[in-house]
Amino acid sequence: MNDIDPKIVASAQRGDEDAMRSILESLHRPVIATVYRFVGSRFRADVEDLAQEVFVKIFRAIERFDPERGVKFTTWIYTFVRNHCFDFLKRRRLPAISMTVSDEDGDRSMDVEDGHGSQPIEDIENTELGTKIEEALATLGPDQRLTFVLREYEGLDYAEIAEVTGVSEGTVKSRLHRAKEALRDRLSRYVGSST
Amino acid sequence: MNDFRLDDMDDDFRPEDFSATSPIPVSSDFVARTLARIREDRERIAKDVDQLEDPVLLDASIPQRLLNAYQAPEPSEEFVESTLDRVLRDRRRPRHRELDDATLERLLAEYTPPRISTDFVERTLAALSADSTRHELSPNPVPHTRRPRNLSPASRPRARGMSRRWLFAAAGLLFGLSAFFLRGGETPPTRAKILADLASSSPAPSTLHAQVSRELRAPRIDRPDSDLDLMPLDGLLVLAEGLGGRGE
Repeated sequence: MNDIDPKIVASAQRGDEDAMRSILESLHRPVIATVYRFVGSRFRADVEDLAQEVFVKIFRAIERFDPERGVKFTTWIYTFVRNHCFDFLKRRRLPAISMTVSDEDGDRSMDVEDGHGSQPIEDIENTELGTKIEEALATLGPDQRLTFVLREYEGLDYAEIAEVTGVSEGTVKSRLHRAKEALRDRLSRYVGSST
Repeated sequence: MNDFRLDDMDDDFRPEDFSATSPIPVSSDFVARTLARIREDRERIAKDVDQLEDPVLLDASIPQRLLNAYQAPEPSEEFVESTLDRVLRDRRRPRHRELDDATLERLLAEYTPPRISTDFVERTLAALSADSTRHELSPNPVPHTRRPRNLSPASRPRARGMSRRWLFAAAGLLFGLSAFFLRGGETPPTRAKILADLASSSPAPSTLHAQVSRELRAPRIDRPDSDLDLMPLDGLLVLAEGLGGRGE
């Protein structure tokens, strides 16, 4: 992900409203997506509220962001996403993402109801796949899941993920490897048919 | 080098004293087991990293098409505007107002104002005496605005002693009354109660004074007693003594 122009960040640090709007416009999609993929569709209704709270915290602390430290602004943003999502789930004493029960053969029919009746086949397939991926992600530990989401969906590099999660790059690589292994295992049917 | 060495330790210290004071029994193989676990973890990470960097395994990663199927919801149209509005409202809100009134009351009840040490008073009085002596001895004494009392040289020390006693009494009374009203007319909580409350409350004892001080400094327009401007008691004492000293 391209980082935010340092001049815009500096303006936002001085309280410039346009700069804040610019940051929000650039980052709200990835923040919402990461929050959603981390807490899961069970909290779909809460996702925007959570993302909004993340931004409130970010702009409360923005004066403390120091570009001289060598950390990208976007990377810094994800530390807030991580902490806020962990807190949210901890308050509810719930694991991240819902653990929907699958049939033994992993062929549980998805929730395709009336609303999906007119959807193209491809969309329905994607929805089903999306559900399967969410279920597979739900089996990972929160750190592995976040590492996977930041790497595969948000395109952060190992050093950036290490900064966000507060671990070494080696640990990031290890978590990523384990996550991929577990997901490949759980999604073997789909992995096979997609390649 | 700041490395701590066993040789630097106090002669009376014995390493086994640590385990003697530890409230949790530590098994004798704790260190060995922990080191083994750390080694195991490092080996696992190194192995995982090698595998992850293996191009064959990387190719066998999760296909992008599959990943793309897990879509995040589209943000609502008003998300940016409503978030910006919330952020701006939050930034306008003074930080000290986040402390609700109940918490503030509790913090104030637990707040112990600093006490004036007798040593401080003695030293200040001595300094003032020395200063007034210097004034008396100076070739161009500063003219006093108040008319000096006609005291005989013999009665001066006694009169000074009397005035000091009165000042001590007045300062003590002021200090006691201020502390009493600051706590809302209640007697100070016992040490045991303070410790019990602190243990069950969120603010750490080390931050308690800072929090209360910050609150007291912050303007509280909506509080009826906000105009209660407490003059520092030690300052009052010095001022009173200074006036008295000049009068003598």
